[in-house]
Amino acid sequence: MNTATLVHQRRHRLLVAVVPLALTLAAWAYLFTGMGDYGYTLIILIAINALMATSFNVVLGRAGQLSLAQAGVMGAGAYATGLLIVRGGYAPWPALVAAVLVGMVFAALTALPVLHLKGLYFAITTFAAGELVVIYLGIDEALTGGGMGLTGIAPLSPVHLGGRTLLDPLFPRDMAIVTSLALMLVTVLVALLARLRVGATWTATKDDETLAASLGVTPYRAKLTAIIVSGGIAGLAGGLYATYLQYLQPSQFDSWQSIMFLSMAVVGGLGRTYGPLAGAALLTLLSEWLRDLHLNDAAFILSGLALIAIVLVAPRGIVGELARAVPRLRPGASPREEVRPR
Amino acid sequence: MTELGQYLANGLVSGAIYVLVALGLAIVFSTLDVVNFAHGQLFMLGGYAAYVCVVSLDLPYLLSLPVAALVLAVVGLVIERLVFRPLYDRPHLDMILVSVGLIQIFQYGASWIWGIEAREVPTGMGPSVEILGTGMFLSRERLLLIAVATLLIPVVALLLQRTLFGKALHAIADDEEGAATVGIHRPTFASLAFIAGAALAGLAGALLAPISLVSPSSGAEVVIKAFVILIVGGIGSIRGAISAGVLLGLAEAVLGGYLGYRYVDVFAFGLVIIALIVRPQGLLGRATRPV
Repeated sequence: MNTATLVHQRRHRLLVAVVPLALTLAAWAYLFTGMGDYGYTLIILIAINALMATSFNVVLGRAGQLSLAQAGVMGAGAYATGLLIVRGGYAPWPALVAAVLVGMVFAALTALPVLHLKGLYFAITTFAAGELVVIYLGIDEALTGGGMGLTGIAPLSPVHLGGRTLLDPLFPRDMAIVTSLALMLVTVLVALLARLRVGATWTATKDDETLAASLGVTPYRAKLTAIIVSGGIAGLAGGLYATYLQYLQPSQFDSWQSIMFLSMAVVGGLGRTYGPLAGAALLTLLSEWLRDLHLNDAAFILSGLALIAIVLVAPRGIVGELARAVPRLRPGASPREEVRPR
Repeated sequence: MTELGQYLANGLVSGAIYVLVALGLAIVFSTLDVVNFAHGQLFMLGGYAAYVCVVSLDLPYLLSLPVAALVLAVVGLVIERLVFRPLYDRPHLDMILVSVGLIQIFQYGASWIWGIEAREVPTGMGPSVEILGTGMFLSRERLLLIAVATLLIPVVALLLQRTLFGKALHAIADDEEGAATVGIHRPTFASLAFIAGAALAGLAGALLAPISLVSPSSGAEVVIKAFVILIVGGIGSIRGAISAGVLLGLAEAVLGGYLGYRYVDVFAFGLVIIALIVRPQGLLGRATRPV
């Protein structure tokens, strides 16, 4: 490979990284400045959905394991935060941190006994585990309030800096900032992990478990780390959701939600850094728009159609197909797959 | 005693439904090696087919049963051709993903057309019947369901185990390339499998419709139970699926009757997790393929 190609490849990579970032910032700025509280609400929803799609992206997009317990893990994180605040009297911020830990532990516990199973069996067991969480949350009325829901969850408390209030998440604008920061942090963290050794073991396990094992990767450990990371992200999303809504109900975390988040991850592009964000933004805005038109069902139908259309026509997802299309637009450039060194 | 008998009779009804749904799921699984997660929604559409026949078109309920099977057979053929066929050579995950997309389209499509409130399917079949002077009563719709299932399940089992159709499906499941070598055209059998599986689901949905109401979400629960049965019975094992289905139906009815119905699902989900941990080849049968 000559130097010119390498330089070219760097430029292309930079372009792929910078364009979505710029687009995201522009969209965020528009929602922030142009639409008032409604824009903030949209940002919060998109950010929380994108966190959940990221959680799917780690476990499915990077490590190739279809875990359907994600919404259940989110529920465990959400209820951990809610219960610590309402029943335990803890402050909201530590309760949010607890949600991350609960998500990690919970995801590991659900997956550990069945990690050796092939894809389909793994999917069904994790599905059952996710449903069990929802059922438990509905049954244990003394603790969770059951189907009536858990009320009175305090919002995240104000952040002070040098005697001034920096952020007060009680207000939608500040909560939008908090959730956006969380999403940014998680996205960067996942992109970093994907470039480290652990990320390489995920890809190797996804591509071919036997080959990976023969190269010294332990597929079991690779899957487990991916599940723990994705569990932490789902827990965080749950905790943010709890303090934002200040009200929780078991049905908010059933398997239909898992399917919605999964659709977002796939539509955006599995295994792509910005995929979850693109998918979550598109499907969230679409469903909010249809909800405004009182077409709730149409939102779900369209997300189903989008999922099928993407799998059939553009299996790399929006971001994946764009990244492939960009170098083609420039004369003399070859698609990314062909310039990968070694 | 009467109480227990009543629970067992109800358990037989749900067990029969589970088996019908699970067999359809298994037929499709054997050709494509993927589960159609939207199979429960085909069951739900069968219920609505019966509803439209009886309530909108004023047809007799008995006629709605073959109509539902027929309508769903067409739906099965259409989704196989349009959605699953282009994905044969792609990773399994892609087929699972599109079946998940179908769930949303069917479920929310039904809710758009018929609303989320549950619909009743009146059959005009008359009052409940006392069973052999035991003091137990069963509705005529339940008796019909048990009768149809008792006739149909052995027929389907024979179809899968003894006929050329069943043997071809088995061959494809066993060794796709080998099957192709001896002239078994997989796409044709995939279409047939979808037609048969969807027709069974539609019939089951139409049979259950007058007993428990029809709603857009009524397929979701049934299909999960069908998964449980297939896994507990050992995937690929027809006999395992039948016994697991009947046992699950009975166990749920008895447990639900004495402990309360909220614990019923805990039992089923717990069972599948335990089965996969302890004996992934099936608690009751033996899987015909690696787990």
